[in-house]
Amino acid sequence: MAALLVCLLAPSALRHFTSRVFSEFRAPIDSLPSHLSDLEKYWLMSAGSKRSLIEAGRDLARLNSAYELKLRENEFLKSRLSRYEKILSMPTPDRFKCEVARVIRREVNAWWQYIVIRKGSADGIREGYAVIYAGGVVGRVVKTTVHTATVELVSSRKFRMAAQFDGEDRPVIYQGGGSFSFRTGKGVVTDVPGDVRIASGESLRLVTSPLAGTFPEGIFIGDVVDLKTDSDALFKTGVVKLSEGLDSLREVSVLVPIADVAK
Amino acid sequence: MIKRVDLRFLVVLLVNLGYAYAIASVNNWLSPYVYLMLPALFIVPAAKWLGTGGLIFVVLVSSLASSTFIPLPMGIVSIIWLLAAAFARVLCANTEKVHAVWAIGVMEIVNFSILFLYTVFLPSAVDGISEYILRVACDILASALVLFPLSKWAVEFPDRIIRLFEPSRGEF
Amino acid sequence: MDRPRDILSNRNPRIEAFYWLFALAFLVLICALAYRQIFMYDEYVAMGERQSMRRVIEPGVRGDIFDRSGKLLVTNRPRFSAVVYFNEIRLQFREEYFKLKKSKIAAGEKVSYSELTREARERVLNGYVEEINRVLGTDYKLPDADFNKHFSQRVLLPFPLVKNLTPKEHAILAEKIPVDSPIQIYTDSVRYYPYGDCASHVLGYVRGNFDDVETVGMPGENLRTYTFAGKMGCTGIEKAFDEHLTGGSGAKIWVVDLDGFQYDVVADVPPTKGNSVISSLDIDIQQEMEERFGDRKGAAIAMDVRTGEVLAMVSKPAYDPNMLSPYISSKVYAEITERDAWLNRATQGLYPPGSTFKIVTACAGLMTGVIEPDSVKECLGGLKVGSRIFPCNSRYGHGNLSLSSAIAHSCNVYFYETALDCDVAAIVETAKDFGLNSWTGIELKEDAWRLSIIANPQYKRRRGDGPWLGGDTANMSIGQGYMRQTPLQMVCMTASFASKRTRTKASILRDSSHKNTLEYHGAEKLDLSESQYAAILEGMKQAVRSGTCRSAAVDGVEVAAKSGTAQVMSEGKKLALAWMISFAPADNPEIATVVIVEGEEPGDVAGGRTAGPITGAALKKYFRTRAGGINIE
Repeated sequence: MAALLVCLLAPSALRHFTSRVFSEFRAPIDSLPSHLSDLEKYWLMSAGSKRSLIEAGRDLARLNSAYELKLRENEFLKSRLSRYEKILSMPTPDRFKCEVARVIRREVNAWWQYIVIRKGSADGIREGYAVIYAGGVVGRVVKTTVHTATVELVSSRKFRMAAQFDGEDRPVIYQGGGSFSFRTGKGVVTDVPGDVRIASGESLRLVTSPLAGTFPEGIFIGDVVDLKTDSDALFKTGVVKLSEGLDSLREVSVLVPIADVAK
Repeated sequence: MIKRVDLRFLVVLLVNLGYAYAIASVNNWLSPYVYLMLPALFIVPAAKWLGTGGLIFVVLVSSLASSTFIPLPMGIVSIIWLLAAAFARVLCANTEKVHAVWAIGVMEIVNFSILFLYTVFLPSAVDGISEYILRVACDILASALVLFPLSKWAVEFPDRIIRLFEPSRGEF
Repeated sequence: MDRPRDILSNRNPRIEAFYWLFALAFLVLICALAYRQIFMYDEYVAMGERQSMRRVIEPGVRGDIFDRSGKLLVTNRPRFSAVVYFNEIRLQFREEYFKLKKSKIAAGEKVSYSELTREARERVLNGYVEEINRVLGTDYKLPDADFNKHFSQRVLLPFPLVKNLTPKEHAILAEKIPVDSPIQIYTDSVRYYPYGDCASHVLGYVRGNFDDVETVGMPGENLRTYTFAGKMGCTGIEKAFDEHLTGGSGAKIWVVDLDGFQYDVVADVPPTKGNSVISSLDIDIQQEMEERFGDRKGAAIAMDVRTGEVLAMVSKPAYDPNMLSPYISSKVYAEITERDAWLNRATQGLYPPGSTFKIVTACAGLMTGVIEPDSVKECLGGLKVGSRIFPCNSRYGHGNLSLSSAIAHSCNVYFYETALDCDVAAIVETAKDFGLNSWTGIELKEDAWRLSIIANPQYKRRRGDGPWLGGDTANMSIGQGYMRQTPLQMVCMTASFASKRTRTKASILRDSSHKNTLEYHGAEKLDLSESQYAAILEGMKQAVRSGTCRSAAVDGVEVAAKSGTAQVMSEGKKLALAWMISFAPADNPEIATVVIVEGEEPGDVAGGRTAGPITGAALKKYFRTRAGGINIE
């Protein structure tokens, strides 16, 4: 009974502090398996035959040189883009620095959808930063410890963001619709202008909108296959099919605003 | 006396932390499909083998360690677990030997009760009532199925570890 | 000794009486209970419902207005507001109230329930506004709206903290405010006019309306009702087709708790969008005419001769109806009033038609036989009527003129003589036949036709201006004096003459299926022979070829036109009104136009010089595009 009373009546500051302490205490434990997994992979690879290692190294070298070329091309395109922006006196969009992080834990059920990544406040990650992966949007950082960060997934019902359809700049609102057993998560898109139509058998790509400043423009969120007119006849609402890659995330990128990096 | 209390208490606490790690690892792979919730694993063995003080402490710490993501005020989760611990204590009273049927029964009842309370307190994070019910049902069913073969072993496990260190002693 | 029988039998009459009394009382109770449970059941259920349920009426979105080719002229755009529902923050109100009360008591201040309540609510709401400002980086203030009044009268409806969010603000709030926060984004619609001030008078504007929101047929008629504001057309098409455009209302029945706050919906009828209106306007011609008009005052109308459909209706100065949506600010109202822009000059402007009326005079003269198609008269620069010389617009006179030449060169003398020879009643009848003092049939409510005047002796006498004189006839013959017509009446007259009938029924709706008949227009065939009609037509063609209407010429199309420069006195100044009526192609007319430009300084406008280019531009646009119209589903 005393314990119950303590839990009920403890001031929220104490509870919050206790919760934070446990998060910090737990964080290295969460990242330990990930480090162990990396170690395991290293041992596996070092136990492999010389021939397979040489072949793997050669493949990697080919891949590296291809990526090197792509990086150079990317730099060239970036400099050309900023030149055009200067000539046309266009405002420079927010720039971001990518902080790549390994996913060390996944918590997806009927009440919450989070992942934990192996980088935290020590790496410049703050609450509210956008998280993406090769296939599109992952979510947003909601909590950080020194070395880990908790990311609310794009499929979570508490996740809401401004979006737009590919090729358009009229904003719509995306909200997560939850995760389902044995099926990929989905979301809901609302405030879709009434003149947007989807041809039968086709879908519209939903991408991020730069309006709110958290995400850069054009990152894939999901596909919208059907739109229904709301009862107010002003807008349409649709279901967003999220990418299947979200179910097997291993590495993600946290978008750290350049302005914050400079600080 | 002091050594026995510390050892028993420590073993159950460490086992619980191990369970937290193991369940998190399994959920790491499974959770896009089903999510295992096994709070009874943390509560029933502690209720069986520990005194009141030890039980409260272990359950509190275990609830803190396991409730990182639960979107409820920290105290609420601890209260639910403590109530479940008291309930488990009543069920475990006057039970000398750990039978499989008894272990499964107690574990499943405690686990289901806590998950039921979660369903009452936690807001749905799934769009659509039928989808929500389906997901919750899948998760509860999967948890129950996993708990079924583990129950007897989980209740006896702390006792077996103690016997490793104190083989001359009977059940503690 | 004999005991009393009642003691032996244990009977006590007093107790028995008591028993009977109790029985009676219970019977009364049971009957009362039965009455309430059985007979009053329905009434109590209804009372319970009234106490525990509330109804919220949401008006439907208004329908769109299109032009004849399907271009969107009026639609709805969403308006986003950051709102709170009092239901979700009442605990906070209560907590704040107790906090305030405690601090005031501790400070020894006097505590008044109503003031404390108000201050507590204000603090909580200000807290939310500050949170919005923190997220958006803005400096919004809590709106002046009386939240106590909202609490007592509109508690189920959202309370707006910040209205009219920009798309960027909407996006930021949607991302940064937690999903379960009491601050929510509420979307309603406001009227949007993509073409700005183009066709503003004919399209009209709307205002908010709480009183006339449709609730018939909605569930919960006996429940206390809260209503979102609807929209009501005030002018133009918005007003004329208000019922058609208004959407169907929706209703939600909420179960409320003891304090009147909602917690569950038991019935939900969604609102429906209103019907669309396809107008007869051609936005391309409209824009062309408005651009040519520039900043001058006046009106211009283009009309389909065959059907009477209005292709364009210009009234300047105009206003941007977007500035009147969702409400008219006092600043905007004052600015529009100062520019005198509220008036739809096309339908409400009353002007002397000037020389354009000579067509009517010519028709009257031909019909009465006072002139023939080849009648020649001599113009010496003026005509003495009574004691006054009535001048012609050519100081030295036009010499001998036929009817066609008189029209082409707008000779006043020819028409003075024709009118004086012809009975004034004949001219009045002809003018009436052309509908110059009648309703044109247009669906718009703003129409000043009742105030139009065809000058006649009875009218002059009623005014107290004495008997009708020859000079009055002379003035009337050239569309001066007491004559007053609206530009819409004049374009209908033009269209009627062009299609050789007496009347044209104007319409602002696109629907040509049945409009090209005499019956539809309520008309008769024009009582002119081929040669008579040809003489007037030739005159109007000559006016464009070489007369006063050269500026209305269109390459490749023969245009028939008549210009006019009427004179009015305004604020002690003699101002001109530049008129031009036209139709084309002259021999097989499709389009008729009227243009009138108000002069602002003496001599600054003249019929052919000022109105001609606008007429020419409208006709060029029409023949270049020749839009036919597309069916809109």
